Amino acid sequence: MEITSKIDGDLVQLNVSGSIDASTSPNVEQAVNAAIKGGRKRLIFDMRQVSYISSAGLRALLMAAKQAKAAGGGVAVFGLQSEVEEVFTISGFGKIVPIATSDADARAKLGA
Amino acid sequence: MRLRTRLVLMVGVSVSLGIVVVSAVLALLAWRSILAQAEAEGLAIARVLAQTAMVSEQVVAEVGALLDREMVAHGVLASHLADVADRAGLDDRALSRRLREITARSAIGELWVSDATGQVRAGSSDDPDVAERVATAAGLPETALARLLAGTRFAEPLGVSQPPLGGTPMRYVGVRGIDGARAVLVGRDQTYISKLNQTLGVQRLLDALVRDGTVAGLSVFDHDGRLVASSGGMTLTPDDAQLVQRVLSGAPSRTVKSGRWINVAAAMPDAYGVPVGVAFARLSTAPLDALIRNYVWVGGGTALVVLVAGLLLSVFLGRHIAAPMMRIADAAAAVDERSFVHGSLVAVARRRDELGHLARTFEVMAEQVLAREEDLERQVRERTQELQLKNEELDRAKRRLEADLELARLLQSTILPQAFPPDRHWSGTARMTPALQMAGDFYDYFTLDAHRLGLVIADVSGKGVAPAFFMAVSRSALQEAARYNEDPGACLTAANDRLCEQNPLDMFVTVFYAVIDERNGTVIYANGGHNRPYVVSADGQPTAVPLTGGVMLGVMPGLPYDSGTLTLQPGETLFLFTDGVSEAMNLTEQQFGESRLEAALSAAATLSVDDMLTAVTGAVQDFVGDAPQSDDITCLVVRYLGNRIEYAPRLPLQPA
Repeated sequence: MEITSKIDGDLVQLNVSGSIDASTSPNVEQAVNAAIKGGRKRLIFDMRQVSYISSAGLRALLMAAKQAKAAGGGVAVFGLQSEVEEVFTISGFGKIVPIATSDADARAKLGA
Repeated sequence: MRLRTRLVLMVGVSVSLGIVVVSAVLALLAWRSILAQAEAEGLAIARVLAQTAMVSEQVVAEVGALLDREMVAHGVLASHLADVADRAGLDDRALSRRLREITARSAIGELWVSDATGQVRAGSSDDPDVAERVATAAGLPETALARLLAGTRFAEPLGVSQPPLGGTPMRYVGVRGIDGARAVLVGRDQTYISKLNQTLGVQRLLDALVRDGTVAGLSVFDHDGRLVASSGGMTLTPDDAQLVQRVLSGAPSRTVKSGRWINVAAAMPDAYGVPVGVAFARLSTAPLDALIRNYVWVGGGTALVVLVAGLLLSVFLGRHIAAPMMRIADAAAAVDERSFVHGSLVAVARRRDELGHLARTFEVMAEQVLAREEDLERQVRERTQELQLKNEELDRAKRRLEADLELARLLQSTILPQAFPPDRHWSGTARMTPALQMAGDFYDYFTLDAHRLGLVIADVSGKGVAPAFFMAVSRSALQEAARYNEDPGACLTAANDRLCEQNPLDMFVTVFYAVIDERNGTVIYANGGHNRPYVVSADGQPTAVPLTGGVMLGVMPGLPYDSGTLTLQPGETLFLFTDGVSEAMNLTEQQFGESRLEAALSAAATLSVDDMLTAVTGAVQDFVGDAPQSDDITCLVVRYLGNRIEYAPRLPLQPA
């Protein structure tokens, strides 16, 4: 898996590719921690290149959401592949982390 | 190449080179000295020849003069005799007889007395012919007596006469008569002088020198280049003639080696040092060859001796130099093998040269190295011991932990309900196959009242001890919530709030909770983020239970959970499972997936719930193959058998 970030003020867009599972979720957590520590409070996950997400991956996103919320911001995701979207649907995760249709939609959902 | 070999080679090569150079120089010097010697010999011979020629010429001349004087004396006497005979009136015959007597008793060979005209008057011969001229009788020219008869000379040597008919050559002296009217001729055998000349002359010297073997051949030329004397049967080549010519034209001497010969031409000086001729000597090169041979033998022998001595010396020196170095090398190897003994280099260290210095430095270094190594080893030993202790501690801790974990696993499995509550309205079974690591799947069933049964299947996120604990916490939270909340949605809402309160590790759990009523097969359920269970009809048609939109529990407090309702027909089966089933992976990392699960459920629909469960987990196992199980596999199967009480009167065997 790979994560690249694009910073825009207090907003950061994390482009994730590959699977987010028990072995790769620490990378996501690390990236999120770095962003929050760097003063970012609005996080957008570009999930277009993510093929699979496990419960550990969901937990990483949940942590991100909690940290962002504590910082006064939030988290949004966009570009979910069907399998990933199904996981979001089944787990009800969509209610915790807003699922946007696009980059711009995600920014709108975070009030940016 | 070893040092010793190199040293030996070096010495050998330099000695050999030295010998070759020295031999070459010596040979050259010898060659030149031999040539010079030959030349000197030639010169000496030439000088000796010149001297000898001069001396012998003088001696012969002197002797000739003496003889001439003696002959003159005889002539004077004979003249007086003739005068006395005249006065005594002695006839010529008597005079001849007297003369004959004189010659018979002396060394004088002939005596002739002439008259005033030169006619024979008397002679020492047997029968002197008075008609003959004296000059003719002596074989001399007629003019020889002219001056004597004329009275202008008293006595005169007349030279040597070769008798016309052979015989010995005679030397003649003429004396004028006492009264002047006649001439007396005295003859003496010239053989004596010739012999003397031969005895004392150059030829004899040449022959003697050649016989002596000093020279192979000798020739003497006069100042006009005419051959004077030669010995040794030499024939001169044009080169030799040229050599002679060059000395004649002014060069003091000349030496040329030609084949087996050394030819020397040297000028012959007279008493005043003026060249009077050339001596040409031919010397054999045999002595030269012998000398060269001698040089070669002696030189070669000496060279061999020196070489052997040098080699022996270099071997000895090599050993002398290499041995201490070998000892130092051995000591170095000993240091490497840790068998270095202090003092093993004492003999070398005592030396005052560079090797001694090296040995002393090496000893110090070796001791330092050994000390350092010992120190290191001690440290390693200590660290190893520490490490061993730590390892043992760790091992103990690990075993303790494993024992604890094993215990925890055992406990975890024991907190799950063991047997399904016996009820004629349904048959049910459940099974959890835990993964290697402790995980957080669990199932539960409990009777809520006389007619209703609560069913739970849940999956805590993550693996390890913490999820295992969270599972236990979740289970009790759900049981408690179920006790106070009839509606499954409300139950999950309460359980979620409760779990969010005591969730320091931000864990969450997916829960499917259903309440099934035996009276009518109604199932009220709520899904908190769990995968959708299946309802499998009696003819094997699997249908996924619709979601109720609930979020996983433990994420956020205050979330609402809705309930859904469905009704099981008798014979229909509710199949609850965790993602350990649907996401089981084979070696090619393919997931078992919902379609395979649905197929397995269809195929197993007619089996008993136990066999159905076994068939489904067996299908999963078959699919997974040798891939390790990464997640708990948990299934809960409940089949509604119908309300037997309601249906009981219809049963034919039932008594009315």
